[in-house]
Amino acid sequence: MESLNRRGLRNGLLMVLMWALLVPVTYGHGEIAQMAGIRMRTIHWFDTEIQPTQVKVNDIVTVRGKFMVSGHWPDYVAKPEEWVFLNIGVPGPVFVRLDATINGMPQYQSTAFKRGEFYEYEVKLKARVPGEWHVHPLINVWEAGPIAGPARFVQIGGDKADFVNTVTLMDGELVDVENYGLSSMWSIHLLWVLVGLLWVGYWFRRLPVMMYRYVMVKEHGELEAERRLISIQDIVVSATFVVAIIGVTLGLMVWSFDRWSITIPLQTGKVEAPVIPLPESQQQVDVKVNRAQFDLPSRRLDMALEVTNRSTEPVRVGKFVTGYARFINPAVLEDMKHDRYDPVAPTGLSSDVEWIEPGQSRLINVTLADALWGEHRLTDIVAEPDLRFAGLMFFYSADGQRHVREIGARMTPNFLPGYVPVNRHGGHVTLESRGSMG
Amino acid sequence: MAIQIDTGDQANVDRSPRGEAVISVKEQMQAWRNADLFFFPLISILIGGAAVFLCALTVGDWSYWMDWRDRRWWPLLTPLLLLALPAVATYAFWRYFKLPVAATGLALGFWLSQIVSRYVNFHVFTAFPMNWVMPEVWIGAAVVLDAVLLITRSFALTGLVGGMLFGLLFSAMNWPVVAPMHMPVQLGDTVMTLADYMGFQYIRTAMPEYVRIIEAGTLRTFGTHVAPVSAFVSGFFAILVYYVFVWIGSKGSRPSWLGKLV
Repeated sequence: MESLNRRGLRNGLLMVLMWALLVPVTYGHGEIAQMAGIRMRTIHWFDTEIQPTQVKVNDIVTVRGKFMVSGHWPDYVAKPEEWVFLNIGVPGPVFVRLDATINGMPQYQSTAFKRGEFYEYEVKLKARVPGEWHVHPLINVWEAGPIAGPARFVQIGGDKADFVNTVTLMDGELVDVENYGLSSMWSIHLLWVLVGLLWVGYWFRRLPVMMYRYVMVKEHGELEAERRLISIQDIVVSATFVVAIIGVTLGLMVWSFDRWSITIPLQTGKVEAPVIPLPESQQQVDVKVNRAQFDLPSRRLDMALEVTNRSTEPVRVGKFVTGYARFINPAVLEDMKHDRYDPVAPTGLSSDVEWIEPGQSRLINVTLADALWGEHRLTDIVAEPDLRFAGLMFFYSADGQRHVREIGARMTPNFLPGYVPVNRHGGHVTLESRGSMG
Repeated sequence: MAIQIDTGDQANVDRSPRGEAVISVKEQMQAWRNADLFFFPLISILIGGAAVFLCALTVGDWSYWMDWRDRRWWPLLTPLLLLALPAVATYAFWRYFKLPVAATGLALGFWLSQIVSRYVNFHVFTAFPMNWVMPEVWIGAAVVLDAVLLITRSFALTGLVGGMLFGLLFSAMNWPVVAPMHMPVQLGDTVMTLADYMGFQYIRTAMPEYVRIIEAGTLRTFGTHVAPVSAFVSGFFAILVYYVFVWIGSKGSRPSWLGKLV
């Protein structure tokens, strides 16, 4: 029996050890758990910069970039014109946020966005807790949850004890934010704990109490037990406690009115996120999606697009951004992964037409094919309540000028290898017919 | 076998009872003392811990964060939820022991569980400043509830007087704790409380500003004196909550259904 117990103990310890050593460390925030349809059709993040990525406690990290609020916002999700909040996705307050702006306007409270508009944001963070942290820009949308942007790992060195955070209150006092009022809070708490212990101590001053009183109630009945167990002294002490507690409460209130004489209620409400003319909102390339098909087995979205170039330069497709993921045309751009979590497919975009000349309107086929669809659970768009997709298509001229257009449409999923979906006319969509559109 | 009990006649302390668990009344008294020292703290911490859980499920955010402790919802809802389990325990302690200590014991157990949770979970593990997650304190209100029961020896009167005082005192007792966090701060051209400022600074990824349920309601005709009105309303509802949960305590502490379970 003893050896059996010993063996059991040994096996148990081994299991704990294996669990501790083999369970992978999680660095992200479960951002890919958010519904694919919500990620792809709400906020399109681009030009994200998180710099620097190696800092010490008290150093400043800036998160900046742009996003577009999708015009293809799902009907089953609350609208961004209600409540949104520019936030940061980090594991707890490892940074403190010093400032946040959208299109130059401070964002200390919630705001609202207009669908179809582009916004530029900047958030300044102060490093607080040493470690390596995955930092996302993030927008909380009322009733939809957090919509995370692309992240970078930021390494904070140094000692948390060196962290400094002070602010000047409106009465002119410079205070340490993390400790302000703490000593009085503890004192008040401990005062009430003492009062509670005194009360309990009074009743338990002579042991035994509980069983003795239980037997009294059982033997003599409730009324008689009350008569025998409760004395005039008990009533006087109880009344004294009531009066003293009310007195101490009022005394502490008067003291606090004097000590913190200027107080205001918690502030709430919306701040404005103004729409200003960004380069991205003045585009000269129009795109219409004629047809889209998502092939689940091969992780590929095929789109037939009608592109009209109203600019003075020839343009070509360089990038597609949906949610926070980037599909790159390697013939046009170079965009490599910053780390293994960076949601970029460096060769994920291809097109059968290279240049679209000025004034020309062309049908082109664009394919977005990469394991990124699966890695970031974007394949779940085939399981959405509204089978649509949306994203930003980036066109580039030879001199690097950028034109951004949001595209979005119904999407036909293909669940099985070799299956060819039926089109609206009852025929089948074939590779040949799609090819002929270009 | 009926237990033979000494109910105060010290002449019989050396007489052996007929039970086998103890060999003398002296030993029996020692066992009862040990039961006091063991069971009362245990029950207080267990039910107090359960009350922390109940509080977390119902009014958690008002309790967790200083920037949720407004003048309307926090003083209205929190005392009502905090009163539920003390009322249940009060019935059992008064009915079977004639002891007015249940609410206080539970408030002390609640305080201990709450402080440990805030310090370890919120301050040490997730690095929030302790002054921003300091819990509410209501031990004094619980003592008043117990004391009123002892004075009146009536659940009906205790509900009426003690329940009302419980609702009223909660807000008043906690103002000195939250007052420093209501000092105004100017950030750019925006004025906010220190609690709002810390809410902006100390990032909560899944807790956007708009999700706070604060200052919302139709209580607009009392000028800025909203907190006392909320406290009175809380007191009125606390009377009802006390009666309901004392009734639940009366049903739950009956030995009959316990016997069926065992």
